[in-house]
Amino acid sequence: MHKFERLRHVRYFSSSLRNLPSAYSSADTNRLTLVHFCVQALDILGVLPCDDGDGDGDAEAYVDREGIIEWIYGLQTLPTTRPTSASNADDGGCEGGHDMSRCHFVGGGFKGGTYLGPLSAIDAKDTTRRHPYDHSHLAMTYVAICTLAALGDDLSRIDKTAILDTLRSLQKEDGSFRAVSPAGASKGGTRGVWMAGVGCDEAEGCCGGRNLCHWRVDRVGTDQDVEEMEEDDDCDLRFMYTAIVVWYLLTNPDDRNDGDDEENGHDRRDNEDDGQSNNVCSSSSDECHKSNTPKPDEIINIQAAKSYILKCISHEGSLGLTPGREGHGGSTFCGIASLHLLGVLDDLLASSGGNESDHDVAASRKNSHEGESIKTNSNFDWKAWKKDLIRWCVMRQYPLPSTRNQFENNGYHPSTPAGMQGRPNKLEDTCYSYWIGGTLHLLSSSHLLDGWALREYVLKCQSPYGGFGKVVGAMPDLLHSFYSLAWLAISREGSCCEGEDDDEEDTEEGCVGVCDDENEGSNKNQMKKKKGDVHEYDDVRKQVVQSINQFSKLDCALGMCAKRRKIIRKAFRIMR
Amino acid sequence: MTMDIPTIFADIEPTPQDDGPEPVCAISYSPEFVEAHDYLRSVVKIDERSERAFDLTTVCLKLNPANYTVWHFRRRCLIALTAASHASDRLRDANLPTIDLASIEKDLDFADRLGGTNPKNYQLWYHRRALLECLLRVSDGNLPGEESSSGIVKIARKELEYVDKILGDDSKNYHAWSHRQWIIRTVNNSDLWVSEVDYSHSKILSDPRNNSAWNQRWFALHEGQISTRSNSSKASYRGKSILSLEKANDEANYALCGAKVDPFNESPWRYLISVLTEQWRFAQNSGDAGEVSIVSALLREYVRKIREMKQFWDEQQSSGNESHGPCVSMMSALVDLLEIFTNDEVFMNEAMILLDDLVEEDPVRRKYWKKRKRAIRDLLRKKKREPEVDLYAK
Repeated sequence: MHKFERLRHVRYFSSSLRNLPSAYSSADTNRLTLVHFCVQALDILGVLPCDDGDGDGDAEAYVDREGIIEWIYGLQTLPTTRPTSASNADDGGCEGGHDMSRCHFVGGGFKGGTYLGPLSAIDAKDTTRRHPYDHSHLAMTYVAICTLAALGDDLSRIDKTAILDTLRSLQKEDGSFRAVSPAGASKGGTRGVWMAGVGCDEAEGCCGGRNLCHWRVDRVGTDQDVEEMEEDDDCDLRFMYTAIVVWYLLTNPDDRNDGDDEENGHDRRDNEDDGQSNNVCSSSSDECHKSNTPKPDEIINIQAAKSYILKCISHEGSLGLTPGREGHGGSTFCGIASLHLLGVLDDLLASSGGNESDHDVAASRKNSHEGESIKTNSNFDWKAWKKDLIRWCVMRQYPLPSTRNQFENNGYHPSTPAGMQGRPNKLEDTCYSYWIGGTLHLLSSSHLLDGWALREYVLKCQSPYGGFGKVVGAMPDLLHSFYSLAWLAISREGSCCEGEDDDEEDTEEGCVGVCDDENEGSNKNQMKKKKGDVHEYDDVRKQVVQSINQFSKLDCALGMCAKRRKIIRKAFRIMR
Repeated sequence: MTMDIPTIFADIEPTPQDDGPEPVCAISYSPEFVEAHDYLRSVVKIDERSERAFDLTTVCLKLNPANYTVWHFRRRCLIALTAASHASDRLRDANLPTIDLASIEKDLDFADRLGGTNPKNYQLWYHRRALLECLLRVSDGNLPGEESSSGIVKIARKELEYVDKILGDDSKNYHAWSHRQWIIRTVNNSDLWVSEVDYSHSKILSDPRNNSAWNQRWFALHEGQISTRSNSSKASYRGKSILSLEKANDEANYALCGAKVDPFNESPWRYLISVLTEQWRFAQNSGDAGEVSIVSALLREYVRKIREMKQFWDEQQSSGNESHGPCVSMMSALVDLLEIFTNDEVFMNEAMILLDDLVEEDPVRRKYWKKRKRAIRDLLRKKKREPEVDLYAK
């Protein structure tokens, strides 16, 4: 039984927030992701204070929230505009912001680090030259929003319009998403600038300042750029996931078909405090940046996104990163979480009643449509896929009875640590406890895992320095540390660590099995859990449960803590 | 050979990274890293696409091969340098950016030396694809989309050989297998599709537990449309083409042979079940009773075969000749097949018994196996209450 070393983890993440060893140089372009891992982990550990005032945070860890917030905002790009076909670059270009049908923003969002050096986003007054390689990255936009929320920021400085517009521009015809959106000047584009608005302190500059209410065209771009090679790769399920999360967080829940009652319930309460409507501007009309918040399905092509995700299903039932690729734990989670946030996963769960096979369905149809060709009702065989997917996920847990004499001299014991692999015949790895455990959690099937064994494995991977390694004995790294903690947060909420399923015939079966010497020679596994062990499990469970916040399904899909969602919802409702 | 950056860039003021007053997750870069990137920042900001800028990206990429912006800038340098040297006038007319052949070869080599086996490095593999796209365009004067000539196929084969080399060190490298898929799809030559089936076979032979190889086989047969028929049924998620019945028979046989080599290996069992269920679902949705009947016979044949295998297995165990331990993959595959025949009570009961065994033999998944058993039991109970005419009874 392994103790959950909460204090060590708090120290590990808080010191990582300050300094990281040179081994992280290869993560230079996505430092923001590393910040996200640290901040979300500290949130799970209960270190960050909540906005509803339950405590001032944790004395063990000083987190410079303001400093981190400023650093993150420094990474927000200054978007640029591209004319749509409705506009003509020659007639002065886009009016940006004012008439969305004529122009759209690109390059909105955040970048992953400061490796390009000081950019116009930081140096707001230098509008004469934009950095030619400035860009936003969808994954960084995602972690920026989540992390700012976790730090208690009110998100007022996030340029929601630019981000949503950029999101739209990133989707390809096949439904997948690019990640990188250039914010540098390019042919036919315009350069814009934030102008100080009412209430803005012009001395301090706008753009990343407090009021994002004025966007004006500076001049039309006339760059003589060499025709660019379309850099169009890696539009895989990782970026689909980040796109859908950003879409989810920035769109109005009431307009979405996400079927998340918990979400909608909160929204109605939040509405009471809103004095401001979305569409009214406080300034005069030609200074006013009118909100043109499009509907969720106008921002992205939801059908195309769904259809792309489904194309990634491999013959095994799991999802590959792109169509045709081998099913993999990470991409499976990305796809399923995306479907969950798109509100489509309910169909899957709704078809869980009964076990009517295709055989019966066809038979009953033949009965009713004698002589007619049989048409299927749905466009997609959810039931079949769900079965395959759950089976695939469950089979990823160790120990795999894949070697001879696996259990000789070793009876199976419920506390035998059992980690998850990412693909068949590969090694265990702590991050898959989240990818696959999370997938099952979203399918309301995490109870089918051996949650105890998985928890034991994850705890066994704790490092004496704090954090978690990829495997037992490995040095910790931020990615595996975060996802291990996130799994523990799921396991707290999900019933995966409950006892055996309620089954009228199986009250004791599988729980307490005594080694039956009469079966010697049969090499059967024996369950040796004794009654005394139950109390020990409860203690360990309590310890983990008390130490961390839990992950509901939605949190699992978003990769962040429940209470922070309220901040985001409130912020983007008010935001123009 | 190190580059004397300050001397070569004496006219350029280096730009330090600016993290503001409170750096967050500050990485302890090495001094070489800092120097190289300080100059790179300046060069990139003025977008100088020159020989020396290109060389600077080499230094930076050796320090951090994951910086996608540096790779992007490097490619722009290559294009600019090529354009400057008028290497391909023909393609300037076509208005497509290009990189000259020699540079492409050199950079493919560079990407390789930088560590093509780094499993987490998406950028290295993407760089190869970007270069190859240029190469495919330049070779034989063919523009993308036209019928591939032997030149293009030669290029594809050469790159496939390269990937094979990588797979030699890391046989399950996800990027490597994906890269093969990209090459084959892009060139779309029927010989290459067929040879990929052979390639997957060779990798399966050398390691039957290589799940990527089994996936590649599926990919090559289906997307390459090798002995497939069109699947107009929208209900199946398995794509537009499915194997012909004959091919399915062959592949099922292949998979079962693979399973016999090592029955504990999950991959061939899953492949077998996928081949069979693909046929089954197609038949069901076709509504064609004849089709259903034929496929039903195929599935029943495999039920028989797996049962035989299991029987032999159990006999070996109890006779004490070899102690195998339980073979969960075999049992699970058998259950999956039996369960399809919901009107066959013998099959259903056999499945439930197997599931009881699985609860015992595979205790990590005991909750899952119990659920499967409950599902069958509930189905049987329901049937007893509402008997149906079995149109497909054999």
